[in-house]
Amino acid sequence: MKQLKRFALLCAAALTVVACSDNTPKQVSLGTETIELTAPANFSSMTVTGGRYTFTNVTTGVETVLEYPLSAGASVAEGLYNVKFEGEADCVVDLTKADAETSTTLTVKMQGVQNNVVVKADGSFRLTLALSVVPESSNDFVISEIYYVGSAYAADASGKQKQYNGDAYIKITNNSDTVLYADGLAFVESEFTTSTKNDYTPMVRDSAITVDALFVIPGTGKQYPVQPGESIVLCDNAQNHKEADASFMDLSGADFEWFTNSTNANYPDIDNPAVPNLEVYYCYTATIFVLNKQGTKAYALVRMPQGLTKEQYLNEYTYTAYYTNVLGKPTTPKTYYKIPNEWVVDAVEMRGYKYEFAWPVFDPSLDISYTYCGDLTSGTIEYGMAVRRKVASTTADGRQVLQDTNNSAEDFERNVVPSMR
Amino acid sequence: MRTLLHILLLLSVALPSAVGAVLRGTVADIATGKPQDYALVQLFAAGDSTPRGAVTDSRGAFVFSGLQPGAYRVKVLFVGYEAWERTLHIAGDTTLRIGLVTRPLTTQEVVVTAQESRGATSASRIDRQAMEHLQPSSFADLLSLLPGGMASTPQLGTPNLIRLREAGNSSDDYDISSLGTAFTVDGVPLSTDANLQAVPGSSSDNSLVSRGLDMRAIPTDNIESVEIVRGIPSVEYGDLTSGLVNIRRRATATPFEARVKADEYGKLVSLGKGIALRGEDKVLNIDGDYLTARNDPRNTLANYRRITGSLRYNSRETTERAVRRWRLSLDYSASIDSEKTDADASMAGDRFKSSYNRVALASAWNWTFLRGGAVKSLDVTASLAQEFSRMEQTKQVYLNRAVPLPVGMTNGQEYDAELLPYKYTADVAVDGKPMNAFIKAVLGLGGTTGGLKHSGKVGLDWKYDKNWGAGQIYDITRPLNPTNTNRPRPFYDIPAGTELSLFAEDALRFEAGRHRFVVTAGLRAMMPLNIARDYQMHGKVYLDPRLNVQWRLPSVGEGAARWDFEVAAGIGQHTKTPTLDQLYPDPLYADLVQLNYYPTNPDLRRINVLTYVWDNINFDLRPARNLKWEVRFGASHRGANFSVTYFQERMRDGFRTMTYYKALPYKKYDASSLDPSTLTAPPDLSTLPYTWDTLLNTYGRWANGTRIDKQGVEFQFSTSRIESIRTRITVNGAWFRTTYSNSAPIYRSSTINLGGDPLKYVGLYDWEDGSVRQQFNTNVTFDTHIERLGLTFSTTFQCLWFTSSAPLWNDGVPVAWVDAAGNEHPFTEADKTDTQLQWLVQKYADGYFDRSTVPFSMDVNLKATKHFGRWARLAMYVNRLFSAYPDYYRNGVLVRRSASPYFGMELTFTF
Repeated sequence: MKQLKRFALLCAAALTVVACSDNTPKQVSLGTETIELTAPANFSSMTVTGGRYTFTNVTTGVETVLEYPLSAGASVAEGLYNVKFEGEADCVVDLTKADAETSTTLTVKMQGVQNNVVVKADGSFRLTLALSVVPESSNDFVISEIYYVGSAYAADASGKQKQYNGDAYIKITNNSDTVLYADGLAFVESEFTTSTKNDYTPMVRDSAITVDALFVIPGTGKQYPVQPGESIVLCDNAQNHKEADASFMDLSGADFEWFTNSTNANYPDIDNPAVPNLEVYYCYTATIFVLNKQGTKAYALVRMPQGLTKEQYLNEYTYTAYYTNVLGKPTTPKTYYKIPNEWVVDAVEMRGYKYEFAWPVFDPSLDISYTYCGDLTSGTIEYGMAVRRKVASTTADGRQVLQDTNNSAEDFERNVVPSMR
Repeated sequence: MRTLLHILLLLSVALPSAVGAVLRGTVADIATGKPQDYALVQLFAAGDSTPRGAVTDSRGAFVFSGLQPGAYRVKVLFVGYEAWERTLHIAGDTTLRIGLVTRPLTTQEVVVTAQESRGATSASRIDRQAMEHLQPSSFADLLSLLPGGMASTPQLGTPNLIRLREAGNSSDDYDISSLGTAFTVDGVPLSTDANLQAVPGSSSDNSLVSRGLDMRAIPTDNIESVEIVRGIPSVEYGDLTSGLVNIRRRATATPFEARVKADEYGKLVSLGKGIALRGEDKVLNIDGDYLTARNDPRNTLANYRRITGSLRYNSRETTERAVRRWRLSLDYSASIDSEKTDADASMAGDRFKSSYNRVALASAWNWTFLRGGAVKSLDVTASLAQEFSRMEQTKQVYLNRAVPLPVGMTNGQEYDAELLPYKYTADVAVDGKPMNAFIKAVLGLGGTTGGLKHSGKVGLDWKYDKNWGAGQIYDITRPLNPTNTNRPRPFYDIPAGTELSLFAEDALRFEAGRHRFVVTAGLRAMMPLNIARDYQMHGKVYLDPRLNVQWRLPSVGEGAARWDFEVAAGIGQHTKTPTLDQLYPDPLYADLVQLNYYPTNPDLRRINVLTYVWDNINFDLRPARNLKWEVRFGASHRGANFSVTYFQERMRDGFRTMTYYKALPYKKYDASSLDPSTLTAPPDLSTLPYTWDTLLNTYGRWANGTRIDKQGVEFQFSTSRIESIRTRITVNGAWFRTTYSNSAPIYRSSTINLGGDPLKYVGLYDWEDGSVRQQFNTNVTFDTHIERLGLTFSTTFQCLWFTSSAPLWNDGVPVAWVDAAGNEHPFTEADKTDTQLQWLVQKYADGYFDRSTVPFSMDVNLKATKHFGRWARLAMYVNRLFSAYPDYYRNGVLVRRSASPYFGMELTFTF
């Protein structure tokens, strides 16, 4: 018996030693050549002049900021990181890809991000960061507000609440100093979710976004002018939803409705004739479209090329892909619709308050981070909250310029009271 | 037919006269002197191999009269005693006192596994000892004893459906497996055909409509024995496709028994006693039980409770000419499947209650004629069962968006729809009162023609299923679910289902040299009676011919070292008629919005709706039919038995809900010319321009569209108890290969919105959408019975060697597409790239059709029963005490598996 106790003690001691040694992470020194910064495809040359790396440890949340170029002693502890680069570079942008004369040298802000990078002390650490330009100021439409989480009825006697989805909307703002026309501008929701990463084969993310809904603002091209700093509202039902509950949105003055013309008798819809409907190019459901309430999809504004008809688009922009599921079995290929990245005017990646951000579903050059509503720590949400773009500056004539650095985590305010309440 | 005539002829001449000597006697236990009733006494006249028979009464007495003087041989047979035999000369009235010597009770007789039947077809027999050792909560637990069965954790939160001889597929499309398995209790079928209990606009897993019997509702404590016929049952049994479960309940005097069982998921208490009212001739059995179980011990909301009570009176009267038995039973059962809605999600005022009560009265008369003659017995059974089921729900409904409310009740009705209020209280009740009446009469015949011994039966049965319930009761303007498009309908409006069946069967026994044969051939004719002329089933007679042949080969060897062999084969047709729900489904309603004009000013709003109503009856619905054949080989040697069965079953017309389409024209009003800002009233429909459009509406309807092909090998091997270690070894197992698919072309519509409208086309696919599933398992049981210690324990090694599933191949391309007007067009190569039509092509990944296999796993289950004197018995079990679930790679991905033990315990008191 005594011997047994002694043995147990020994075992415990051994375990403690093992545990201790595991708890002391090794430092990994990052040589200058371990991280490669690559230029966007339309750059003929790029010289990074300065900047800094931010290594965010995914497990602990500890941030390590390292200056560019990396000093000889630069190091981080072993672990799993999200690595971000923000800096400046001198670039030659090849506009024609042929004539050197038309090339211009610019100094631009560059950024790049790579998530879930394994940093190990065995010398295997190598990282390639694709950089993209941080726009100085956007000169186009931007998504200025997204109200996707839905509302909740006033609590009943037992203190519980039921949800209401009919008053979702998005707001689009002309962030330029000239009058822009909303005609042909499309609002899309991503097909893939940011909470689950699948190895879609083929993967087209670096050239196109994949969408599950594509709603286009109708018009002749000059029908829907939007003044600088002004906004338009796209919504599900342009009604005064305060008829249902005082805390809901009054969307009777909205500019467009997405009305999917549900003919399914189980899901009838209503249509306000005073508010024009968005032209539905494609929608994954034949019944009713609601913005993803979990917040695990990305949204984008797209300018459809002039002259491209709906039929042409539907014929020419399909994308068929499959992925390998957790059991190692390839899934049934599905056909999706895609939109080339060049058509994208603005994009916002969202993260579900209950989920990890598994991957950016759009190319990181469109948005290098994400925004969300709710509390990620507790995994809870309060209904009736929106995300809204921050005001970067106000011009002399009083126009608010919204912040758009393709970095949603920085550009958006989270959990704000919707402007349409 | 000629045989039948012979029998009828024999019947008319076999009326003997009663003069001559009388032989009286009593039969008693030689050791205790206690009279023995139910002993069989046979009297052979010299030179006659056909005996006269008698059964002793409660005083152990028997009598034969009208004997001609001469030499006679008397033989007495009784279970548990050595046979007694003596030859005597009878000159005048004679009295005999017969003392029987008990046969030493060998441990051999304790059987804790299912036994393979020695009869003509493959069947498993499970008796009380096996049940006591198994410690079941409900009938579902017994199935683990069948070849191919495995002990699994009880799932008492959802209905337990039976699936015999199958690798398993839980899709609703293959519910004919459970619907087509007939359950009879003391000869009375448990019909579920009139069950219509479903919540409007919900497809709950807990609904049993057209799915067969919920085995949770059958208690096991009053069961004497169960025979599960996997093969081809006698033509006496009908309204089945898959198999027959024949339950015989206790009908003898028994001590008072109380059983208390507890396991991780539930508790069970059962009480029972068989009271001898007058000797053993009149016995009253009273028993009841109470079960409360949770599917998940952590979830206190979902709960299943069962209460049963049974009163059974059995009487027997023995006269010189016949034994008359009469049975009367009154049964009550109730179950409460309550799902209290989640306290976190439900609102103040939400209520849910669902109850099921069943009362059944059954009576059976049996005459067994002792005198020689062609008519050996007559059985008449009649029963009446009435269920009272009621579900009541009150729910606070909050709309999550504005919803127009369709309320049209007649076909073609055009009207302006109101919007549902955003908040309202919905009250729904579903009142079901299914009733089943059943009458059956069977005449048992016997006789000899030449070297052929006949034992036949002719008879008829009649069943009647009706639901008297008020049906779904609710206000359609305040539906439980805002997406509900049903309208309430009283169940009592639905016609009754009535069937009459006639059957005749003859079992021929004959010998050819040392070969012995039993050929059982029968024919069952079923006629649906109360069915309208429009139905294809009207006036039809469905014939089920069934044949079983058993061939006993000459024994090899002598005495104890003898080997016996037999070969048996059978083929048979089986028919199950559709349920009331399948014959008389709810009418369908489609509500099409013709004008959707909903400005913010309430005075200008108009939503105009056109309602289509159509009967969703499939007049072409036929009964489902299953053709089975099987071949069996059996051998026995020194008390060890081995049998192996190969079977095939083929069904092409099982019931499933199939998709059809209907082209529904409607007006599409164009309000674009109106300016909402200048309107003062809702748009006037009479002045509004419109165009006609057509909606291709797809909907589900019952049809004979399911194919289930079963194939497999079942085997069982059991040794006699090996005395040195007091252990018996039983090995059983099965390989099943089941093909599940549709048997008719399928329509499918897409669910996307393309270019502003829902995709308008429907594809017609003429391929098999299904899978081939396989499973191979073996159970090896070592059971040890130590009489001296009153201890029985068993260890079962339950190996699942593999399961696999492979989708049936198809190219994903429809054969035709249906345009918006409802016209069908062939699907051409060019259509594969058409903007709209390409969405009708189903695509598959590489390897999609590959078979995926789950390899070996093993559980070790332990059970023990200990008797403490005559008063108490303690039993416990641990399933998966040890288990082996090796990791395996599937498509290069490591799959880890785990299993956790499941255990329980019970105590039985006997007074």
